[in-house]
Parts: sequence; C-alpha cells; structure tokens
Amino acid sequence: MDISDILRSWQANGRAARLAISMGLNLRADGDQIDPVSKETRVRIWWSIFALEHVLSGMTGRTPCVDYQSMSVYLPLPYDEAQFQLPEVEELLKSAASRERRLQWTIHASTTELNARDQWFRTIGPSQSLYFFHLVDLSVIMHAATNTVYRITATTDCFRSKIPFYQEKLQSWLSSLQPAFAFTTYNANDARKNVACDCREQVSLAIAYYSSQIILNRPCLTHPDSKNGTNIRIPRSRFEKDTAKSCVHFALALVSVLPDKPDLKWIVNMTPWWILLHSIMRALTILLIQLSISLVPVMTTDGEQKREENEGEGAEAVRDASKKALLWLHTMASQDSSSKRAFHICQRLFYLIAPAKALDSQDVPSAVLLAGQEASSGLQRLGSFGPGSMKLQEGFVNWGPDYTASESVDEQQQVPLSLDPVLLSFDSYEF
Amino acid sequence: MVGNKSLPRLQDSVSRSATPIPSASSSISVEFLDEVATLTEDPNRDDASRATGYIGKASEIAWLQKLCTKVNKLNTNREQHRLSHIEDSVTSMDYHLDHMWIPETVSPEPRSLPPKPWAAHLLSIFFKSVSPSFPLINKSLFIFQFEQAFRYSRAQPSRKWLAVFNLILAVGFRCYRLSEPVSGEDITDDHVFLSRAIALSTTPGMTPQYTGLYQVQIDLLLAIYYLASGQVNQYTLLFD
Repeated sequence: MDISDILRSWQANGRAARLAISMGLNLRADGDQIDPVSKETRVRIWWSIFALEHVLSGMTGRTPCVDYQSMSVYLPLPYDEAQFQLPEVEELLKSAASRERRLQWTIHASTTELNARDQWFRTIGPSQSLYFFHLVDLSVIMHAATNTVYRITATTDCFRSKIPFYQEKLQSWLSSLQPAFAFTTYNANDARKNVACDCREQVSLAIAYYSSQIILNRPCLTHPDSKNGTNIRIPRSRFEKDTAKSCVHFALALVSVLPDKPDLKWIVNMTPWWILLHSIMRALTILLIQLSISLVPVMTTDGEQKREENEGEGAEAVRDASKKALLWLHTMASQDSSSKRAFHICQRLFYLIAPAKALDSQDVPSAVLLAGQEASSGLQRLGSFGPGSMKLQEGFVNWGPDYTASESVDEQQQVPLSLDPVLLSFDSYEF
Repeated sequence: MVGNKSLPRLQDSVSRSATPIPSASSSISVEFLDEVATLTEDPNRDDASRATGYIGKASEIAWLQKLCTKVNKLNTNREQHRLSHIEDSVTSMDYHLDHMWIPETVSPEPRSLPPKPWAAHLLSIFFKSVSPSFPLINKSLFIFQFEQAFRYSRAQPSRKWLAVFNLILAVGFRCYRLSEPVSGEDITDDHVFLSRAIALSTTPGMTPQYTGLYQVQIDLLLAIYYLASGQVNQYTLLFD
C-alpha cells in the first residue's frame, strides 16, 4: 500500500512551512542585510507556501499549519522580475512605507483603500505577478472564511451568520480584477461575460473563485431535516435557501468553465492542472448532492436575472452538468489513475441517484453496474488489512506504539503487488 | 475518518437503533457540518486508513462519503438489488489513494546532468505552466546559474542547487507527460530526477543539515511535485 501523494505533499509542505517560519519568512524584513530583490524572492516563497497549504487543506479538510494572522510579511509585488528595474518598482522594493500604503489584502482593507489599490492595478496592466497577487488574495479570504465556517471547536449557529461577511469579501475580490483577468461581471445587470477559454489566468482565477464560493456556501446545502419520527419538514430560512441555491449555482458555473468537449491539451495549457481533478470533484459532488435532494430550487447559470427556476428545469441543468463533468473525468482517466477512481465513484453514485429520483437513465448500459460491483468488492478487500484480519500466530508480540496493535505487522510481510480492480474494469463512457 | 459523534460507526450498524428510526419515505439528514470535529474511527487501524489519513468536513471526500451512506440507505428502503450497495468507507471515497506499492527508483549518479536542450525544454515548461502560481524561484538568477552549470565543466553547482534543479525538471516532466501522452517509451524520467534530488538534498552522516532557504525551496517543490503527481506511468507500463 503506497501512501497517497496528497499525504506526501501535505507532509512536504508542512516541513517547508516549519522551516520557513524558523527563518522568519513570515515576517517583514527591514535592514540592509538582505537586498531588496532577495527580500521579494523570499516574500514570494512564503506566499507560495501559504497558497499551497490552502489548496491541500481544502482537499483534505484538515487544519492548515499556517495562520494568516501570524504573518507580518509584505505582500508580493504585482510586478514581474523583468520590471524590477523600473523606477516606480524600485521605489516600492526599497520603501516599506509606500509598499504598505498601496498594497493590502482585500480582507483587511477599507473601501477607500481598495478603490485606490484597484485603480492602481488598472494602470499597471496584467502580469503574472499580478495574477499571483489575486490568487493569494483569494486564498487569504478563504483561509479566514474556512477557519470560521468549518470550525473544529464548539460551534453555535452563528457561524452561518458569518457567511454573508465573506460573500461580500469575495464580491470585492471579484470587482478588483482588471478586464484582462475578469472572467465574469459581478453586477447582475451587466451583460454576461464568459470565461475566455484561451486565457490561462482567467480560467485559473475562475476555477479558484467558483471553487471558493462552493466551499463558502456549502454549509447551507443540506438535506431537509424532518421533525423526529414524522415526515414534516422543518422549514428553512430565506437565507439558508438562497445560500443553498448559490452553492449549486457556483458548482454549475465551475463546470461551465470547461469547454464542452474534453481536451487534454487544453487542460495542460490553460488550467492549474494539479488541482483540476479536485475542483471538478468538488463541483460534481455538490451536483450529486443536489440531485439527491432535488427539492431545493436552483438558479441555472443562464438565469442571471435571478429568477426562480422550478424544480424540473433546475434538475435538468444539474443533470446535464453532472454528465459533462463525468465526461471530463472519463477523458482525464486515460492519463491519470486518480481521475479513473474518481470517475468510477461518481459514475456509480450518479446512476444510483438517477433511478431513485426517476431521472432519465435509459442510456445506462447494464455492464456499468457489474463493473462497479467488481470495483466495490475490490475496494472492500482493502478493509481486510489490519489487525482484525491478521492471522495471530503463537508468540505474537505487540510492537506497536499503543495498545491498538495496529502497526504490529512484521515489516517483512509486504503485501504483494495487487492490481487495483477498478482499473481493470474500464468501460467506455457514453451519455 | 469524518468526525461526527451522532453518526453510527461504520463497523457497528447496531448502534443505529440508538437514534429514532425515520420512516421509509423521509430523507435522512446528513447535516454534519454543525458538529464539533470528532474522530470516531482510528486512522491508524490499517494500511488503507493510514494512507488516507483523517479527512475533515471541508473536503469533498467527506461529502461523497455521507452521500453514499444516504444513497445506500435509500436503496435499502427500496429493496434494490444488493449490487447497488456502494462501499461507503472514507478510504473507498478517497480517489487519490493508490493501492499499488511502487519500489523507488535509485539513481546511481545524483550529480549527472540531462542533455541541455531537454533540460531547457522542461525548464521552460515549468516557468510557463507552474511558476506563475508558485513563484518560488527567482527566474533570472536561476537561468543564469543554469547556463553556468552547462558551460564550464569546472564550475560545479552546489548540491542544493542541483537538488532544486532536478525537482524543477521533475515537475516540468509531469507537465510534459500530460501534454504528450505516449505509452511504451521510457517514461520514468521524473522518478530519476526525483531520486537525484532527494539524494542531493540529504547530507550523509548522523546529523542532517536541515536548514536554509534552499531547503525551504526543496520541500516546497517536493510538495508541488507530489500534488502534480498521479501514478500514471506504472499503469501505462503494465496495461499497454
């Protein structure tokens, strides 16, 4: 059994963060011992660690090891290295005061500061460094939001009241994007702008934004509660219903960023491909949850006028988007075993939910379910590892770190290479 | 291992009787986001659970698991065929999990350099595709060092520079493989780069010199590499 690469990544980034903190990379650097350009390099290293920690924390649902409130480090300059020679950039590199005056994270800044900052950004013009600034800005907002909304410690109902605060911050973030990066309009009255499929930065920011909105709104997308022992639904507040609708709306929006026809080259050239699978899975899971609820009214991505869709139309948009996401997973699965597993899991769920809710599933080939059963039994075999299945021999000694005796297996008893049955049963996928 | 003290443990279906049994037509609340995060299973109990680790409630893997439980329950109520039961443990929902154990590649000559055009190509892929989202490398400085490394045989790059270099090549190679999928060729280049990087970044002897800005970059690049990694190559080798 090999440990998952996500776990390896989690561990490596943890080491990087710990070492970086021991070197003060999370603190502002003044003084002459470090030249201005080197300071900027270190700033970017720190924020890269932060951005990656946020991604990994979102994938695993675990607490990040860096805290945005324990940093005094400067924000990364929205200028590329090639522009460092320009006089205005040199000034920013050298002067901490002017740097602080002009650059703030959206979550900390006042409205006046934000307006000034966004106007300044428009004069700079798009650059990769500005793109990075926007990306980290979004991560900082969501880092704070996730910390509040998905608290580990005692929760009261008031965490839901924090959601509008962060929704507002996300709107501010969206409005700070200049036209070259703007993938949508935040004002519902403007004409809808589609994500430019050929602009790498737009695609990446769009995926990050929609993925963030999903996470933020997710706590309100729940199955209806019933009063104990009865079928009477406990009524939900207006806010909860709207937030649930938004969650599904943003899941649909994320899927709509993808071209209709899956294209591996597009993935590599245009997306942050290292988190694409996770982003699609996040959106697809929401859609599957929605299909299983099918009672919450939903806005489709076409319905930007915020009109209420009746249940039938909303369900069709959700179903179509689910199929599109599955098609993408299927294509990605030809390259990547994680995608293959993800596809199998979601495909089975989709076809189990669909008949249960009497949606159109006439095109389901029966072979699919059989393949799924092999996969299921293969995966079930995994559960047989561990202390319960060990043949306890005479003279068994617990060499483990505690009394559960879970890690007592002799190191020589390597599990022989077992082929993942999920990967053997790979049918072609059709709508 | 999603924490929720009011949900029944996976292995213990008897405890479900502790909560009021809902009628067949009502849906079961899967609201778990309100609960205090609680560990109800042992992530240490077997290889699969150790490989997955704890999965918290903000992860879509946790959402999938809860959904599966619900779907299973609904289908039980409808007396569907047993085939439709989905294994709803968290490790079954963890699509990142790999069931295959791959022996590690060990490169005998960590300091050797790949051909320069190939290295330059991978470097440019890295700077175009990955670096904008993770600008941890000072590009102009690095390119200068790269040219030096290939120009003079006597200008020996430092161990750590080589470690960073190999990791950049490894990440660049992953991107390259995604865009140029060809089976049957030698497609384990990134494993070679990775093993060189690891060999170079660990110092021999009792006390490892685990310090310095380079080490931060090395660990960050490793984290990026693993995130970008799927175990593609092995399966292509076996099944094509």
